[in-house]
Amino acid sequence: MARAVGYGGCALIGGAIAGGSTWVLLGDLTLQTVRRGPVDLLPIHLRIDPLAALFLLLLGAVSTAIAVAALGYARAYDHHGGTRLAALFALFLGALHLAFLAADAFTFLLGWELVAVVGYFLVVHEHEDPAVRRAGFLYLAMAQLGAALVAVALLLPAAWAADLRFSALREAIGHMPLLARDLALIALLGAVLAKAGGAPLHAWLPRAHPVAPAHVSALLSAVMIKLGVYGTIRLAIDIAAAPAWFGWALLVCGVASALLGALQATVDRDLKRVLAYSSIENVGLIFSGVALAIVTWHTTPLLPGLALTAALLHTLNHGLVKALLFMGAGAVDRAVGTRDLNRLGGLARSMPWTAGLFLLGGAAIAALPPLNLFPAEWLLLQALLALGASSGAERVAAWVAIVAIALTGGLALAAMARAFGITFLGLPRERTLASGTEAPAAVRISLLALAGVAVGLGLFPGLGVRIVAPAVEVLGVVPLETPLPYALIVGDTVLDALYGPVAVLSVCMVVWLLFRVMGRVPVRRGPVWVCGFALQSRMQYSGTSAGETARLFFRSILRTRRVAREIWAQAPYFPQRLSTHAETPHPVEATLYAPVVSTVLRAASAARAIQNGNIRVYLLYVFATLVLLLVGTR
Amino acid sequence: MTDGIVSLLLILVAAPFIRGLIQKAKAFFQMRNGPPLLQPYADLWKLVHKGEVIPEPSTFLFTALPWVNFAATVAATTLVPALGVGQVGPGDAIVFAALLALARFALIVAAFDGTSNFTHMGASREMAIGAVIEPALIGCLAGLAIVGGGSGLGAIAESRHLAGPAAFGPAALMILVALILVAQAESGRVPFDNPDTHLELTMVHEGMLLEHSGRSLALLAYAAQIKQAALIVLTGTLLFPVGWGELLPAALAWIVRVVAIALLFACIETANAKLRILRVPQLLVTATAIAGAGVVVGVTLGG
Amino acid sequence: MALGDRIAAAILVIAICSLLIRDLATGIVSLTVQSALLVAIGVAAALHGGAWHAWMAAAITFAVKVVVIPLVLRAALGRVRLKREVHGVMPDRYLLVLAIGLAVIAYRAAGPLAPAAPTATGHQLPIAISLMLMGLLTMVARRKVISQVIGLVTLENGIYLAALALSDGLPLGIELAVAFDVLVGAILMAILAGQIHQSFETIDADRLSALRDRSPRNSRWL
Repeated sequence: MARAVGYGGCALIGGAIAGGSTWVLLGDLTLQTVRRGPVDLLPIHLRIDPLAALFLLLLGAVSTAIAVAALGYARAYDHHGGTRLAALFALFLGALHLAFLAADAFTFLLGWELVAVVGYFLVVHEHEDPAVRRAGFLYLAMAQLGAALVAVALLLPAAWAADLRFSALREAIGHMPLLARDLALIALLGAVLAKAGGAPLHAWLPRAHPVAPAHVSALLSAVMIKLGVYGTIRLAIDIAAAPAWFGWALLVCGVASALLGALQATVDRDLKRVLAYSSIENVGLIFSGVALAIVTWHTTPLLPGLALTAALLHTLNHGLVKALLFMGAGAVDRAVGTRDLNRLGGLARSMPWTAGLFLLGGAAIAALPPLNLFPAEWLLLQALLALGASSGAERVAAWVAIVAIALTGGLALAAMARAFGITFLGLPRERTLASGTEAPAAVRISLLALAGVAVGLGLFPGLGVRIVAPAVEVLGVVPLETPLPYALIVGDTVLDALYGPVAVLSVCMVVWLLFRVMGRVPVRRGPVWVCGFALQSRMQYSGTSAGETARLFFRSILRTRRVAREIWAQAPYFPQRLSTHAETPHPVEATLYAPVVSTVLRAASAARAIQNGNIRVYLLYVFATLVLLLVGTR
Repeated sequence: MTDGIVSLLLILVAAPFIRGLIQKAKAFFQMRNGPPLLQPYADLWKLVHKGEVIPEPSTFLFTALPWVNFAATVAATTLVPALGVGQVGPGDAIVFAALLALARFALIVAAFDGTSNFTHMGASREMAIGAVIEPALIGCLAGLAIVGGGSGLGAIAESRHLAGPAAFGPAALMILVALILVAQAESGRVPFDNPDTHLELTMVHEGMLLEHSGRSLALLAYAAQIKQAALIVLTGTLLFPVGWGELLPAALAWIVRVVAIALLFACIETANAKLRILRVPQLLVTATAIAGAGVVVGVTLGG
Repeated sequence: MALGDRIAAAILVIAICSLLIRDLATGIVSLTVQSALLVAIGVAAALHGGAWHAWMAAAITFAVKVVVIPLVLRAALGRVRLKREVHGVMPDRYLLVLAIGLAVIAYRAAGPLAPAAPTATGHQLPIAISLMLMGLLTMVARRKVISQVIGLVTLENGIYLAALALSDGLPLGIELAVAFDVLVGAILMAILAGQIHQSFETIDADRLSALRDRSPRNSRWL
C-alpha cells in the first residue's frame, strides 16, 4: 500500500516535472523565485532556465519510469523496510530537484549535500550485510570529499562577491585574483569528478551501485551522476568562464574514465557492476564533450555549440537507457537471486520480455546505430574531427582522443554483448540455478516505454538535438541546426538515421523473396555440436572466460593475480586439495588511493596519542586552554 | 545517385568473385590448382538449398540476427565510394565503422546463442579483437580526414583526388599502409584470423559461425564476403583516387584497383603465418601508431 | 572590605582548602560550607534587588548544592573502601602555589571587566573566575571520582558567583538548567562510583584509562 502511494506519487510528480520542463525548454523561458531559507541571512533562490530544464526533464522522465517499475520491483522490500525505502526515494528526488533549481551557492550546496546524504541511506538499505556497509562508507567518504571541494569552489569567489547568488558570483569571478580563481577551479574539478564518478575519483561507483536496490542504482546512475555534469556546465562554463587548461584537464580525465570504465566492464563478474563501469565510461564521454567545448570556447565559433550539444544529448539519452538496463538487471536479480555472470545463463526462455528489452538497451549503450546514443557519439566525434581540421598541436590531440573514444566504443560493445549473451542466452552455468520468472508487469511497461523512447530518439536524432538546443543557446553559443528530424548535418557530413533505408531494405527484401522463391527448406532442432559429446552447461564459456581474451590483451593495465594453494597432509608430493583464486586490483586504487589512504591512517595513528583514555588529562586540555585564553586576551 | 546504386550492386555481385579470386591467387602461390574462380557462388547456392539445424537451447535470435548482420553490412557498403564519388547513403567514416560494429555485435550475440564452446570461443576472441580493430580503423580514416580534409568517405576520396600528386605525401602513405593492415584485420584474414580453417586453435570468425547452417549460414558467409569486398574497394579508392568522371574509365580503374588490392591481400596472406592471439593487438596497435605518426607528420608538414 | 567581599574571600579560601584536603568526608563538608556561603551572597543580592527569580535561584542553589549533593556524595562514600586521596599528581605545596598563581591570573583577567550589578563589589568577579579555575584544577589534580564531583560543583559555584557579579543573576532558565545538570552529574557519578568500585575495586580515575583501546587500527578500509 505504502509502496503504491509512494512510488505512484513519485511517478505522477515526475511526469509533471518532465512536462513542465519540456514546456520551459521549448518556450525558452526563465523563471525564478526567492524563498526564505532556514536562516534569515541565507535565502533560497530558485531559478529554472533551459539548461536546468533539460536536466529536470531527464530527472522527471527517468524518475517516472523508475517509479512505475518500482511499483512492481519493490514488492520484494515490502517487509524489509519498504516504507522507509519509498520515503527516502521521494526525498532523494526532492533533493535532486533542489540542486538543479538552485540559483545561489547556499541552495546549491544544500541540494548537493542532501543528495549525497540521502543517497547514502538509500545505498545502505540492506545494511545487515557488511559488504553493503563498506561500500556505503566509501560512497559517503567520497561524497563528503566532493561536498567539501564544491564548498571551497563556491565559497572562494563568495569572498569577493556581494552575496551568494550565482549572478553575483559571476561578477566576482571577473575581479578575483587569478590564483584564487584557479584554486577554486581545481577544487571544482575534484568535486565534479567525485560526484559524477570520473577517474580518478570513481572508486565509489562500482562498489555502491551493485549493493543498492536496483531502482536506487538506476536513479543514481541515470541522474545523480549527471549532477556532476550539471555542476561542471553551470559553475565552470556559465559562472566561471573556465580557461582552456581546465578544459584540457577535464578532457584527460574524461578520456581516462571512458577507457577505464569500458575496460573494467568487459572483464567484471557482477552484472550490475558491469553496468556501473559502463556509467563511468559514459560519464567520461560526456565530460570529454564538455571539456572540448571549454577548450574551444573562444577560438572557434561553431565548435563549442557542437561539443555541448553532443554532451547534453549524451546525458539525456544515457540516463534513459541506463535506467532501462538497471531495472532489467534488477529483474534478473529478483528472479534468480544472483548477479554473478559465472552462474547465470539461459534466462531468455523464462524472461523473454526482459531479455529483448535488455538487448535493446545494451545495443543502445554500446552506441550502435540506429539507437539513441549513436547520434550523441557521432556528434562528439564530429566535433573532434572539426578540432582536427583546425590548426596546431590540437589536431594531434584530437586524433588521439578520437582513437581513444573508438577504443572505448569497441570495449563497450564487447561488454554489453558479453553481459547480454551470458545472462540470457545459452544454458544456466550453475545447474541448480532457479528458473526465474518474468519481471512484474510494471517493470515490463517501464522497460518498454524506455526502449521505445530509445529507438525513437535514435531514428529521429533531430528531435533530440532540438530538445537540447535551448539549453546550449542559453550558455551563449550557437547550437546545431536541425532542419530534418531524421538527419543531423554538420558542415558537409550527414548522419542520416534512416541509412539509405530504401537500398538496404530493398536488398533484404530481394534476398527474402529469393528464399521464398527457392522453396521451403526443412528446419529442425538438433543437439549442439561439441565433438560428439553431450552438451553440459559447464562446457560453455562463463562470464570470466568470455572476458578472458580482453583481459589478456590488456594485462598490463589489469594486473590479475592468480594464487594457487595446495593443501597437503603429510608431504607436498600428494596434495589433497587445490584452490585457486584470481583477483584483479583496480588499477587506479592500487597506484593512487592506497598511498594516500595509508599516509592518512599513519597520521591519524600518530594523532591518537593525545587520546590516552584518562579523563583528567582531557580536563587538563580544557583547563590549559582556558588559562591560556585568560592570560592571552588582555 | 544512379552510380551509387550501380556501385552497390557491383559490390554485392562481385563479392563472392573477389573471394574466389583471392583463393585462386593463394593456390597459385602454393603451387596447386585451387578451387574454380566461381566456387563461392556455388557454395552459397548450395547453402541456400540445404535445410537448417538449429541448436536446441537457442532462441529466435539465432536465426534473426544473421539478417541484422547482413543488413548492417549492406548498409555499410552503401557508404563506400566506388565509381566516382557515388554513395547511396549519406554518411561518413564514423557511420561506416559503427555499422560494421553493429554487424559484429549481432554476430557475437548470435554466437552466444549457439551455446557451444566453439561459438563462445569465437565470440570471446572476436569481442577483444574487434575492440582493438575499431580504433585502428577509425584512426586511419580520421587520420586521412585530418591530414587531407573531408569527413565523409566520399569527401575524403574527393579531396585526395583533387590533391593530385600531393595525395601521396609521406603522411598519407603511412596512414594508407596502416589502412591496408586494418582492412586485412577487419576482413578476418591471416595474420589475424584464418578464414579457411575450422581448428579451434585458429578460428575467430569461423568459430562464431560454427553452429549456423543452411540459409542463416549463407547470409553470414555472404555478409562476410561483402564486408571484405567493401573494405577492398574502400582501400583501393583511397589508395588510387583516379578515374573519376565518365563511366568507362571509372569502371576500368575500379576493376584494376580491386584486382590489385585482392592480389595484395593474397600475397600478405601467403607470406605470413597467423599470429598468436596475444600478438594480434600488438600488430594492430603498431598499425594505429603508424597512422598516428602519419598524422603527426602531416600536421607538422602541412602546418 | 564590605561584607560581601569578605564572604567571597572566604569562599575562595575554602575552595583552595578543598583542593588540598585529602580526607573525602572532610572535602564534602567543605563543599557544603562553600555552597552555603554562596547562597548567603545570593540571598543578599535577592534582598537588594527583589526580583523573584533571584530568590528562586538562591533557593535552588541551597536545595541542590547544600542539601542534595552532599547527601548523595556521602551515600556514595559509604560504599567505597578507601575514603582518602592517597597519592596526588604533584606534592601539595606545589598545588598551593599553582592555586595562588591561578588566583592572580584571575585577578588580572577580570581587571577590564567592570562589575555591573549594584550589589557587586570589586572583588566578586575575580573571585568568581578564580573559583572556576580552582574547580578545574581540582578535577585535574585529584584522582578519586568524588573529588571530581567536588571540583565540578566548585566550578558551578564560580559561574553562579560571576553571574551575580555581572548582573542580576542568570536568567532563571539557564540557572535551572545548569543546576539540574550538575545534580544529574553528581548523582550519576555517585552511582557509578559504587559500580566502578564493585567492578574494579577502585574509584581511581587514572586506573580507568586501562580500558583504552590499544588495538592497532584495522587497515582494511574497503
